[in-house]
Amino acid sequence: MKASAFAYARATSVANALELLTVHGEKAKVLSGGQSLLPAMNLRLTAPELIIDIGELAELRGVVVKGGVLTIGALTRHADLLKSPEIAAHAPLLTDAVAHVAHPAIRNRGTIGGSLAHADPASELPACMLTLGATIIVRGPSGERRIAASEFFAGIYETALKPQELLVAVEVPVSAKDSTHFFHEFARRHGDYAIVGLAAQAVVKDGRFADLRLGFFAVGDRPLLVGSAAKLVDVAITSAVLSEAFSALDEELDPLEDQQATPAMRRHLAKVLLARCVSSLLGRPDLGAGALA
Amino acid sequence: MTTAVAISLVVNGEHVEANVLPRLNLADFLREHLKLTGTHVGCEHGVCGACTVRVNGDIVRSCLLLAVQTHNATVETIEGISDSGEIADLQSAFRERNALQCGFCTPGMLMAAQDLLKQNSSPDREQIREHLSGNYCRCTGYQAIVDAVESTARARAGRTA
Amino acid sequence: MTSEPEKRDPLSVLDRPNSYIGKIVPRPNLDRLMQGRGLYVSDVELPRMVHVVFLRSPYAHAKITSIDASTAKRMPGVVAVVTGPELAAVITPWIGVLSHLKGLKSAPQAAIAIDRVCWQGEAVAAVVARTSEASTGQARAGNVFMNAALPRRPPGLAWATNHARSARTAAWQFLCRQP
Repeated sequence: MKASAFAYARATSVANALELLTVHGEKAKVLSGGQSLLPAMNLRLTAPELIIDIGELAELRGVVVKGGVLTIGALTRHADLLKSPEIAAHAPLLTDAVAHVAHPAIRNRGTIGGSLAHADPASELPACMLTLGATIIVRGPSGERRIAASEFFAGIYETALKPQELLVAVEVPVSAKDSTHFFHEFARRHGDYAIVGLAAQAVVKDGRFADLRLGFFAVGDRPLLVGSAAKLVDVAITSAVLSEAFSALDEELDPLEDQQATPAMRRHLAKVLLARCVSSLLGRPDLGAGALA
Repeated sequence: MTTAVAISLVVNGEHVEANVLPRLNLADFLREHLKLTGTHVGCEHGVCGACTVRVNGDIVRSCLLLAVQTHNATVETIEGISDSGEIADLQSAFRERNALQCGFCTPGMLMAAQDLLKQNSSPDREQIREHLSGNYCRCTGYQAIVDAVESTARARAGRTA
Repeated sequence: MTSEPEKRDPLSVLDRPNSYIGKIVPRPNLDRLMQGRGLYVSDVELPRMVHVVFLRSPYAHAKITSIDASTAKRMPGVVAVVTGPELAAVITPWIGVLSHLKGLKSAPQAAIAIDRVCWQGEAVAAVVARTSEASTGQARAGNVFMNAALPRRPPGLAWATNHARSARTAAWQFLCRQP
C-alpha cells in the first residue's frame, strides 16, 4: 500500500529541527531511519501531515566514550552499533542485541533514536536501555532533558517524549570489567518481532550473582526490568531458589495476547529465558530449561 | 502536500534530476520514473526483501526510503550491478544451480548475497542464511540459493588464494 | 507359455522418452530474470492504464453482510469499485482440475468473494483508479461490514505477522478468537 500525502522538510540543523517541531509538533513525525515509521505509513497506520527528515544531521550520529560513559547519537544506525569497537568493548550486550534487530538492509538505515522513540514493546533496544541503566537525552523548546530509561517507556508506542521534543542521544554507563551479559529472544524466524526476549547484565562472583539486571521485552506493553532478579542475587542458586524466582516473575508479568502468542505462552517462554540466562551466566547446565516443571 | 521537491542523484552511474512528491518511495521512483523495473515491490513494509537496492554502498529497502531522502546519494539497482559485471559469477552460479523459479525475489537475493560476500569472503551456510533471512522466496525453498552463494564464495576465494 | 505381443498402452506425456521427468530442463529465461529484465504484471505499462487495489478480509472465515462503497466511488481518480456479485456476472468461478486425473476437481472459487470469505486475505472488493496512490486511498475509504464466523477448529499455530501492532489490528484479532 502507499503512504498518504504529506509535506516534507529536511532539517538543516538540530536547532532547525526543533524549530519545526515547535511549530508543527502534533501534526509532524520525525524521520530518522524510517524503518518503523515508513512501514506504519505504508500500511496507513499513521498519516502525519509533515515529515521532518533529520537524516542529514551528522552531528547526531556516532559513538563516543568519555569518563565512563558511552554517548550514542540518536542517528547512529544499528549497523554502526554492530561494527563499533567502543560498543563491543564497553556495552557488549548491545552488540549481541543489535544482531537480532530485523535484517541487514534494515540495520543499515534504522537508528537507535528511532527505535527508542518508537517504543515497540517487542523491540530489543528499549529493553537493553533498561538493563544498562541508560539515560535518554532529549531536546525541546525549553532546553535539554535527561530522562532515565526506567522513566522513558510508557506504553505501546508511548514514551516520555513530548511532540515538540527531539531525542538526540543516549548515555550508557560503561559496563564494569567483570560484568557478563546474556541476550536471547524467541522468534519464529530470524529477524521477526520477538515473541519474548531477555537482555540481561550481571556480575558473577564465586558462583553467585553479585548483581543481576533482567530486561524483558515482548512481555507486555513496554519493556520490563524485573524486580524478581533480586531473588537471585547474593544467594546460592538451587532449583528451589529458581522456582521462587519463576513465581515472582509470573507475578510481575502481564503479557499481551496477539497473533504470535497467548499470555500463557509468553509467561512460559519468559521462564525458559530466565532459566537459560541463569544457567549460561553461572555455567550451571543443571539449572537450564530442564529445571522447569 | 502537492509541492514537488527537486532531487539530484546518481543511479547506476547516471546523473538523474527529478521533481518528486515527498510521499513517493524510492522503489516507485526507480520503477515508475526511471523505468528500472528490476527492483520489485512485494510487501511494502520492509520484510520481503524484493525491493533491495544499494544506496551509498549499503543495501537498503527501497520501499522504506523516500525518493527525497536520496538527494545527493548514489543508488545502484540490480540492472546496474548486473550490467557492470559485478555479480556475473553469482548469476552464473544461480543459473547452474537453478536457484530461481519465477525470479521475483532474485534481484533482491543477488543484492543481499553480493553484500554478504563483500563483507565476508568465506561465509558458512548458517551465515549465508542469516544474511539472506530478510529475503523471502516462495518458489525454491532456499536450498539452491544457499548452494549458489556458497559455491560463488568458494570460487572467489579460490581465485584470490 | 509364451504370451502374444501385448498391445502397448499409449504412454502418458510424463512417461514418453522426451518427457521432462528425470532430466534437467533448460531455462532460457534465467539470465533475463537475474538481470532485472523480467516482465512481471506490475511492470507492464499500457497507455491510459488504470490501477487496481484489492480490499482483503482480515478474517479467516466470515459472512459478508454488506459493502458500502459510496464514499470511495465519489473520490477523485476512482474509476470503479467492483464487488463479488458484480464480477460474477462476467467471470465464472475458477474450478481446478488435473488433466491426467479425470474427475478430480476443486470447489468453485469466485474471483472476488461473493457472500462469504474462506481465508484471511481473500479479496472482498476491487478499487480501480487512475493512479496507484488513489486506489490505495480509496480502498481504505470503503466500508466493509463482516460478521466473523467461528473458526471450525481453534486457531492452530499462531499466525506470525510482521505488521506493526495497532489497536485496530488487535481488535480484529480479538474478534477472530471469540468463542
